[in-house]
Amino acid sequence: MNRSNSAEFYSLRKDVENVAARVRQLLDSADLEQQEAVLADLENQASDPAFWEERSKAQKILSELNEIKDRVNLYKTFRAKVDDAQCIVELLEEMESPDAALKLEAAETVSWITAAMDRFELNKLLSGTYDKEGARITITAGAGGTDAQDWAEMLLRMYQRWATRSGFKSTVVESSPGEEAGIKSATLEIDGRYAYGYISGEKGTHRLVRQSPFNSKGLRQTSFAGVEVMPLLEESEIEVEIPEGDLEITTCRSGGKGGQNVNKVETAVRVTHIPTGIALRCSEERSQLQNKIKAIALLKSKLLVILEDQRAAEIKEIRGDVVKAEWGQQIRNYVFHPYKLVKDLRTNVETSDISGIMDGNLEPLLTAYLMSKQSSSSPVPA
Amino acid sequence: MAVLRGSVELVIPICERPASKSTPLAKLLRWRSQSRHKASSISTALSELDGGPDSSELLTELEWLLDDAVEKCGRGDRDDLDQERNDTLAGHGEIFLRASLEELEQGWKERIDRRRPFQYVTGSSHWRDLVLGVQEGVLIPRPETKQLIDLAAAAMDGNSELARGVWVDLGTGSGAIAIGIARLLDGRGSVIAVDASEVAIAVAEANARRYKLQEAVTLVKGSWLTPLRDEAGKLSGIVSNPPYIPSRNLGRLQAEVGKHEPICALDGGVDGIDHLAEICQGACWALKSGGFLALETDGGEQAQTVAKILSDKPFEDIKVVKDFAEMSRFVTAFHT
Repeated sequence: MNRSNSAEFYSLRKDVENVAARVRQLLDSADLEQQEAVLADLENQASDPAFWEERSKAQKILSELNEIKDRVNLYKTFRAKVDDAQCIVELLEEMESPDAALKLEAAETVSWITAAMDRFELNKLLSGTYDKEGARITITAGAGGTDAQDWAEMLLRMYQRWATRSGFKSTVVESSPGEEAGIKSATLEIDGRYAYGYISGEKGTHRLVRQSPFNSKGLRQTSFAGVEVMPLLEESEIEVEIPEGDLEITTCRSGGKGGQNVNKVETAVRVTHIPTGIALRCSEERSQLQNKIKAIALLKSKLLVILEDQRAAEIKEIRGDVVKAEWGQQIRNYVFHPYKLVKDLRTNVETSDISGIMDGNLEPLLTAYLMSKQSSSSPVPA
Repeated sequence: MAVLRGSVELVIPICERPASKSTPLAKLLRWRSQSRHKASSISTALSELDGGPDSSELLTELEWLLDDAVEKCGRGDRDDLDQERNDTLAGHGEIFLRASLEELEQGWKERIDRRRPFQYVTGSSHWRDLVLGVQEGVLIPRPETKQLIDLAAAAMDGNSELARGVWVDLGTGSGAIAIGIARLLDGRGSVIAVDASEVAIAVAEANARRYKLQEAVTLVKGSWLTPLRDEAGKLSGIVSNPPYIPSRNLGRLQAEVGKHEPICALDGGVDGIDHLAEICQGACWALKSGGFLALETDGGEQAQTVAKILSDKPFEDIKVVKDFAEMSRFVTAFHT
């Protein structure tokens, strides 16, 4: 081999060694054998003819089984790919003139393993109780008039694009158009594992600075939009009892006589948890009763998340004032003019690629926030 | 699509029709997009005019219409397909529909241009946890009315004997109240549903059948309690949402109601209490001792008037109950 080839080769070999070490470390701490034993035991349970007699228990076991299966397969894939890369390196060492295709294959394998391990380690940070669930995002236009309503719609698109890029399915379950443009509010449901874990940090106020297309003089304007995030929980997961007297339920009748006088799609229901002041509006189902049921389920989910955030043991202990303060907190600035900058106020991460951000490329911001949350709290369980 | 019941043409709700029509997906999405534009352009014009729907309500209705009409393509999928428009449509071909694209176009046009009620366009009304068939000639069940079922349930809780008796829904319309009560009774008692309109009787009967309650609910054509003389002193409960709008207000109603729903289901006479008063009068002889009466009213003053009427008759425990919008909507009482 000539000099430049050997330099390249040694660099490649070093990369493969690093990645191999990383994978080895992971497999050591993961105890692959033990995981496979657990998997075999669960599969045994699932093949028992009496397995489905207790439906919810069966579903829990099945979901645990799938989780472990995925993990075990991933570990095995890592191990296999490292073996491949190491084989190629050995081959290349033997060869007189190094094969370009082989070098490329090794380099790509290293890239793949690195990206997959990064993602895997990020997922380990998502160890909150609800992180594995899908997410429900509500965006509400704040101060700024039509410009803020347009801003809210831009944020909605941003999250939709992020969801698609990340391989999640998303549905707009509710939206209220603004009078002239944009939206007053909208709710987006994102289906997929860990969606909530990734996106829950988005809750708070997002601030926009730009030359507003809705300002007749094209002046620079500041607008705000609020984002709320909740996990999508199954009925069975919402194990919290709330006394009926603690809930205030109102329907959104726009004043006036109601009853026979009116025929409108006003099935929206607003549920308020009186002790904490936390309220929720649901308008996506076709009857008031269904909206009431869904609103209460969503309210319970919200309370469960707050319980977790505030590390409270019971709903009684939730501090409503703290909740309000948190959800109004400004978390990110997006500046379009006179310069282009997106800055996350919690991690201080900034980027001038604002169009990339609006296009849904949120990873750098999300990852930085997740890691900062991780380092400021207790160590992640293995 | 309709079926003949006696001399009444029963409309089949779109959601119950077979998905036997089809249309190229691109055409459907194009129509959806145009309709969204049309709905958005309405903005607040109709709600300012007569309390009609605004854009966001119309957009919601459009999605519900598509939910009913389109087989196997929920809203999330529709949004996805819309966004992927340029790349993947060629491969998707035809999409199956329960109502043809022409019917959907016609229906939506009637919704916007003529203010035809959404529920008549889809042929169905989602009420409480029921999906009821409705059509022109039958009042579309209102959300407030479902509280009558809750009030009846409370009465049965207080006196379990009541659940074993005969209950009457006066002015049954689509049969909503009758079906709600029949489900509470759960076979222990039975329901008689009365209406003067032949269309209502046919529609209510079809709805009872939908919920397998044709044995529990008996339909009787007639005016209020007149056809039930034989049940004098035997009824456990009378529940009703009779026409209660004062005649002078009829001209000011939102077009969906005033121009399309049956006036005979809305017109309550001079102060709106003509039918309420007649029912209160009839309840005196029709209910057994301890029997329950629950009435929906135009709210506020009218509710107080009805309570006053009852206080001069053999009734006790007369209550005026608020609905979820804090309006004094219902009057309940027990026969002494």
